[in-house]
Amino acid sequence: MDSKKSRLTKSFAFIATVLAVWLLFVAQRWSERSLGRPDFLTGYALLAASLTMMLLSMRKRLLVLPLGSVARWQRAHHYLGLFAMGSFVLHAGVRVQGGLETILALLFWGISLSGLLGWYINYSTPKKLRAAGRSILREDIPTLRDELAKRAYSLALNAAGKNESACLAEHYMQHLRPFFQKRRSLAYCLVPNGRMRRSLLHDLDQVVRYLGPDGRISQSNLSQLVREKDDLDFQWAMLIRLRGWVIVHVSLIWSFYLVVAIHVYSVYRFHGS
Amino acid sequence: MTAATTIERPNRWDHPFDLTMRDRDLEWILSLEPFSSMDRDRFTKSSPLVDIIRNDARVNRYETGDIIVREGEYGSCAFIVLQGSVRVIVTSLPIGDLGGSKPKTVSLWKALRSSLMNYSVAEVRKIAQGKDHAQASLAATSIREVDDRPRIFLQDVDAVLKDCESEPLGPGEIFGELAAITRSPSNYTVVAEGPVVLLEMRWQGLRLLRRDPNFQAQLDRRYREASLKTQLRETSIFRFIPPENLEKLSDATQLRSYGDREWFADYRETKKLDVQEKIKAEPLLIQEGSPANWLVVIRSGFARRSYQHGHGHRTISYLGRGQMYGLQELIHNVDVGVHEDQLLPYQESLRGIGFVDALLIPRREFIEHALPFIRNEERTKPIRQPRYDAHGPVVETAEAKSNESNLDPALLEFLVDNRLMNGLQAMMIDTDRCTRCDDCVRACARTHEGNPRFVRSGPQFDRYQFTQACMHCIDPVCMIGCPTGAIARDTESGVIAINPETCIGCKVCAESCPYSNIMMVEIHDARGHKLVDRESKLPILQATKCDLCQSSPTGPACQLACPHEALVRINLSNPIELQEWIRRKAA
Repeated sequence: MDSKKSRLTKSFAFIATVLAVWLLFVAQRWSERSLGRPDFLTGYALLAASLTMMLLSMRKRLLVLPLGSVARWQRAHHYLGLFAMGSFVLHAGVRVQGGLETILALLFWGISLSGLLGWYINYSTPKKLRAAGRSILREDIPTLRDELAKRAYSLALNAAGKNESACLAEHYMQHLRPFFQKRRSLAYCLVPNGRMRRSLLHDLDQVVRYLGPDGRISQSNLSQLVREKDDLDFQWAMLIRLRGWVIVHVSLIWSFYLVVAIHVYSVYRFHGS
Repeated sequence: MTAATTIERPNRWDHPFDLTMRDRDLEWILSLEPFSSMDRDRFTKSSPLVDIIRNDARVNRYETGDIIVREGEYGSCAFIVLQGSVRVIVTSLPIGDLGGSKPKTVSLWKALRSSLMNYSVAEVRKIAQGKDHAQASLAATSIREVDDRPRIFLQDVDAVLKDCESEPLGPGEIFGELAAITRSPSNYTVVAEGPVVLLEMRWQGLRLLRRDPNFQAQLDRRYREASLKTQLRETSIFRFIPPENLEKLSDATQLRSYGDREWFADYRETKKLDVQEKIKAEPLLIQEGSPANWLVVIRSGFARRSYQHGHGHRTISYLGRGQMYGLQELIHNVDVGVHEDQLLPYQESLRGIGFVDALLIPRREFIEHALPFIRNEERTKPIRQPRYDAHGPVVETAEAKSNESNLDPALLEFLVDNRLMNGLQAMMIDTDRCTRCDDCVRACARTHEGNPRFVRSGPQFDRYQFTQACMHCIDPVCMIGCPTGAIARDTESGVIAINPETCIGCKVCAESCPYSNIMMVEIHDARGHKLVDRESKLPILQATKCDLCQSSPTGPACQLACPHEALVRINLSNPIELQEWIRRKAA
């Protein structure tokens, strides 16, 4: 029942958005016929939509006002974003001329794309994070990483003291030490993946044939630590990616408003010339 | 073989309640009522009367106006008047007069200003000193030290008593025992009428004192007179029973307590035990397959309903205050009309979780005096596929029985094992929706002048995380032992809040909270200076915790701020509500 209601609400909101864009299109045509300046109408509609979308961050700060939950505002933000995209196409078309207008268009589509990307990563990240183990606070990850590194080092040190598992210690020094003690690359943060994990675990499996019974237990423990470390790195990368996305989206928005202000000023300044 | 260290086996009375009690005091106490008339032969050699008093009691002195028991307070001790007299105030006093704080909703303007401010210093307190202190002393209550213990006292006892309904208690009389035994909030406030000497008795000692039949009878009589009938009448299915039948039912009802009332003391250790060990350690109220001779009504605490599944036990549900067990079996046996020796036994086991206090109503009295007055729609349906009949187990591996709420049995077990069913306003996060953006934490900080009152981490089951935020528990063990009553439950909203004006930073609440949801924080003055003790130069700490944004006109900011509807404040004592939320989120 609730899922049906939710689907109905979403469908209704989407249809309403499409209808609003269509109405704007009709109004634009009417304005073109009657006033000869269709851009003013679509321009102001776009500006209004953009400014309304800005209210989301205000809502997040002013929770004491009885204006509904932030989740509802966020949903409205998404549909307004779609409306803004339609308005922009009506206002400027697909091909844009002029230096300032090109910058404006690039910024607008940058915001739109980052918005769509944000919608996707906000939707998909929680599930991916859960698949990588229990929820961990971002600020706790470095400490946990250090603990894992110490445990791995101690395992390797113990192995080094025994003849039958000395090659495990050697393997640790050559292949695993950098993995446990260094942070992952920026590329990994942008596109976290399991390539290194698979490779390290595969290599560790190859060492088993040279180990005695105790060494095999240590190898198994070391494999488990590799998995845990990789899960931590994955969580870290996903959280950093989310933070990065917020910074990019917000920076684009402020740059956009700056250029919009110049654009509106120049339109009025040179109106009629 | 590893080396062992030999130590004395720890004993129950290694830590007496009062280390300073002298033999002379003890003799004096034993010469007074009710102890002078107690039959000492009734007490065992391992715990004689004299040792019970020596180890489980302490003598307290109070001055005129001192508040001894506050209405709504959860106590763990009973009090016996030794000298002087006290007044039991039956009329409700304003919570502010008792040391607690009444939540005040701040104006919209103030709340807006607070939201927009950037706090550079968190946990700022207005401390009444000098002139302010003199003004504060004009308030109804204040704190003073008596025998090195902080006491909240009424400034003008006569004025308060003039407008209230109250009755005096003199030497030999007892009070606070019901709240101590049943772990329920006190229904009254007790104030010292003049200088008074009281014997404060721990509930463990009180339980031992019940070995004396006269004392036991006195306690039972007081309970039956004071609250048993009210409790039975408040039990939903008994509401149409005529008063004379209720009287008979009440006379036949037995009162039993199971488990350890101070479960929270070693809970953090016991929670590490294996699940089956934990279940085995739980006190058994009802064994599945045993004759269904009682209807069990939970008076306080929680009980686990489970059945044998393989080599372990599968939890079906947990029962809280007012809920009952055995009703289905009793009604089945009447409705199906089976012969006396073919009666269906209990189908599941019932175990106390930590501590449980129960009423046991005998089968015959229930059938005779209560059953005819239970509405048809409230009668349970006959059991179609019994797990046990009169001869024993019916099937070896019974199919998994769904619980009433249809909640995942593993989640039920998780809630019980972590004692989360205690929470009335627990914070639960769906990690399949939560992006870890921390908007909830920021919203909390903004509402609480720069310092969040919870940590976004905690036990996790599958996709659900039960965050470390105060759950405003049914059994608020944090409230036991607060010397000033600073931590108190608001009787209207049920919210447990800490009054910063009366919190002395003793940490009792923080150490008692089994979920570590109360934090001790350093406090600052308006200029941002850390407040430090004049003598020891150590920072002054105060307890803080989630207050469910009582001062905000829009309710809990954490829930309102979540952009993904991943966070909810939910009553975990009600599995149906929980299942409903889970169903909605899964859709």
